[in-house]
Order: sequence, then C-alpha cells, then structure tokens
Amino acid sequence: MKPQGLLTRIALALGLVFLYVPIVSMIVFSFNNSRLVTVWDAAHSPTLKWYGVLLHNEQILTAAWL
Amino acid sequence: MRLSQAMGRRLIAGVPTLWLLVLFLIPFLIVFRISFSEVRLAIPPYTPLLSWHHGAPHFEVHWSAYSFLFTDPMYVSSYLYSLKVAAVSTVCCLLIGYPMAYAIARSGAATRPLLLMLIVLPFWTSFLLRVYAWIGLLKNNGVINNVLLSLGVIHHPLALLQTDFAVYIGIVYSYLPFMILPLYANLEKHDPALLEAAADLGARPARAFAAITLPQSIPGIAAGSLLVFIPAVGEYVIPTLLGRPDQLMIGRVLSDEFFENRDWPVASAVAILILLLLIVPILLFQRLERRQLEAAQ
Repeated sequence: MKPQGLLTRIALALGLVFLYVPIVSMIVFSFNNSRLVTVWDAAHSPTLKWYGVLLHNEQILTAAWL
Repeated sequence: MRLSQAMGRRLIAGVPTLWLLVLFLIPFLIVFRISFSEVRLAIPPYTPLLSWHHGAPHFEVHWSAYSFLFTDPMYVSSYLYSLKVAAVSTVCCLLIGYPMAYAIARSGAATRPLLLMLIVLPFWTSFLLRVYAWIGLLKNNGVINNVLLSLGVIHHPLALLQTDFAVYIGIVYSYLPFMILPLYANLEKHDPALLEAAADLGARPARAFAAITLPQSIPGIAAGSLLVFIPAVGEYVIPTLLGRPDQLMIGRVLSDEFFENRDWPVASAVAILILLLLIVPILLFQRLERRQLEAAQ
C-alpha cells in the first residue's frame, strides 16, 4: 500500500504543478520590464511598470467597473 | 394537502423543464430550421421555409447545406480531427487525473478540502488568460524554450506552439478539473475495508486495484471522460489560439461559416452534425446518471 501511496502523491504534486505553472508564470512576468512578454529583462526587473500602465488605462478600468 | 404537494412538485419540475424548453429546445429548432434553407443576400440571410404564393402556402426545404458539407473534404477532415483531438485529450486527462483524484481521496480528512480547493482554484482566473499564458510558455522565445536553451538541453528552440501537442496541452489543462472532480466523488466513496480484505487474502496492491478499485470507479471514469470529451469536440478558443493553422477543428469551422462567410445554413448544418456526432455519448451519459441516481436512492 505504501509505495503506491507515494506514487499517487507524486502524480498529484506534478498535476498541481501543471495546473499552476501558467498562472504563476503570468504573475511572475507581470513584473517584467521587457516588452517581450516572456524574455526576462534582468537589468530592469522586477518592476511595477505594467501595473502603472494598467492604472492609466481607462478602457480596462471601465471594463472592470472601477 | 396532498393535492397542493403534487402541484408544488410539478411546479418544481416544471421550472427547469421550461428553462430547457426556452433556452435549449427553441434555439435548437431555430438552428435546425435554418440548416434547411439556402443563403441569400437579405435580412435574415437565408431563404424562408414557408412562403405564400398566390394565397397558397409554399414549403421550401433545401438539403444543399448538408450536401455541401460532403463536397468539400475540409469538413469531413475537421470532424475527424476534432474527434481525434477530443479522444486523445480525454485519455490524457484520465491518465493524469485518475492518480490525482486517487491521491486526494486517500489523503487525510484535514488536507482533502485544501487539495480540492487547489483543483478548483484555477477557475478563478479567466479561461482565456490561462490559454494565453500557455502561448507565453510554448512559443519559440517562450518560457519552456528559454529554460531548455539556457540549460543546454536543446540548441534550437522547439516548435511547440501551433502544433497538435499545444492543442492537447491546452485542452488537457483546461478540462483536467472536470475529470478529477467526478473521479474524486466516486473514489472517495469506496470502502477501504475491501482493500484491506484483499490485502489480508494476499493480493498485491496492484491486483487489489485492478480487481476492486478500478471496476468500482467505472461510473466516475465515464462521467469524467464525457465531461471532457463532449466540450472538447466543439472546442473553439484553444485550437484557435494554440493550434495548427492548416488543420481546423469543427468549432472553428462553424464560427468561420457563421461570421466570415455569413453562410448561416451551412453553419447550422455543421452545428446539427456536431450534435448528431455527440448524441451517442450524451445518451450514454444520461443513462449513466440515471443509473447512479437510482443506485443512490
């Protein structure tokens, strides 16, 4: 019973990683300075630049009912 | 008292029936009816089914939308491709989801709600955003290629995006919780005493699993598989964003006929044929649900 329990637990952990990798990568790269979404600009990151841009984007703010 | 109770019961059953009638049956009949007309440049852009000629009713039924689907091999190949993608994705979901559901069902009572929460939590992010995130992971200068390149595993970026592989990833990713949740609901109800008895009688875990757990979990497997397979056949967003441009899935063909070609009759015929393709699995699913309900009572 024990080794099987370990195997399914590893499967569960890997499955959860699979479910969260895109979400985590999205969060991480939101702090990226580069205009190329997935190329990490190490010299100027992390930055809140895109959050500042978001705060000045009227269209997104109205869409979010703010 | 009896009478009002019966009335109340009928009312409770009547509301969902009315809901289905108004929001499913009537739209379906409208689509069904449009599929038997021909395109014309007018509003609405299809020929009427019933018109009046010199005071006499005149029925016009056209089969051209259906026959058209068989003149161009693109349609048949899209249907087959959609069935293939849905089948492969369902099997992958099952292979990934079953061990996960099993592990959750066997985990401690304290961690179980947390694990279930983790399975459902991705739904709190927009479906579209999660598919876009996969573009960022899979594209040529995306995260996966950058990591593999920097580790020296590969020397040229792998073409991952716009492949069948990307579509499978997208569909498996988006529908995995729909496989895990019914499987968990089934596996959680199993009596551990049966496995203990099997162990006492000398069965190895693998044999006990094959003889006890697997057969008992077939309703869960079927429910999960259909919950993945049925929407995957008509999937539109995932193959459009991640898939090959040269091989369309039928959901994309349907949308192109409707919005690009403005050919409502052909779009309707495509929709009716998708439904016909799915009617067998849907009927199986309903029969299974009924049997489960009966078993529960």
